[in-house]
Amino acid sequence: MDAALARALYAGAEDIAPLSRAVLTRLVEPSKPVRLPLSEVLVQPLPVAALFLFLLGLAALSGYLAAPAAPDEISVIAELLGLGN
Amino acid sequence: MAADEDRQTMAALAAGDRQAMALLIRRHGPGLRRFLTGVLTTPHEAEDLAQETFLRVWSAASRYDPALASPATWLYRIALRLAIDRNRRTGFRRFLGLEAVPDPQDPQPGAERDLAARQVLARTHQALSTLPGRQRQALLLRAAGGLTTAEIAATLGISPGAVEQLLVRARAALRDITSGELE
Repeated sequence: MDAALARALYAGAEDIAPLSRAVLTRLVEPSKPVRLPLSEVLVQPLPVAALFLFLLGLAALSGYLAAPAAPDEISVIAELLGLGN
Repeated sequence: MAADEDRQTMAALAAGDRQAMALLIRRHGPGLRRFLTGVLTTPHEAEDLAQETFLRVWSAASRYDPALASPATWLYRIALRLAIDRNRRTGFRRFLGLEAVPDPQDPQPGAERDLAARQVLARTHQALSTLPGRQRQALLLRAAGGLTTAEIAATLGISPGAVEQLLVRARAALRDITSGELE
């Protein structure tokens, strides 16, 4: 069964010349910098997500620091409900 | 005997001998391709990942420690990690709708034979995909890679007894699914 399974998986697996040629060619070629397509960036979203969260935090902090001193929450709610002076 | 030759090959690889790489590919290339074809969710990427595996072996050969694992175990462990990583990316691509369309069928002479081989591969792959991950990996390491029970245990990080259990269950399940087609 193991042999039948192996045969079914890759009919031309014994012909290793293309694989050997490809690997040895890549060994002698100088490695080129890889420019990832957008899809690869989306597949690995952690750096982009981290940047987004950092910018979000920065914006929140700037907003907090730039905002004038706010009245207390009770006064704001009372004003919204029309109960204020 | 083969393990001793592999160890000599690894020592030559660490010294930067490209002929040793050709030798390693000749010895393990066919099994590795079959293993990757079975373990990847996208079998057509097996060739690409086999190349990647051998390139990783080349760049990490100086760090190989024969006291820790046989060369075959080390090679297949690298391949398994790469395959798991590739499967995870493929899953995410499918989730995003970015997964590439399968290759069109080849209209060249011999395409009929290729088509038959592709159909057998598709059925086999479908049957394998129904097995639990560990069972599938253990069976492929044995059937495609020709690894011993001890080597499979070292590759998967489990005991030899557990490997035997996985193999028995995997073969029984596969026999049921394929109705004896793979005999």
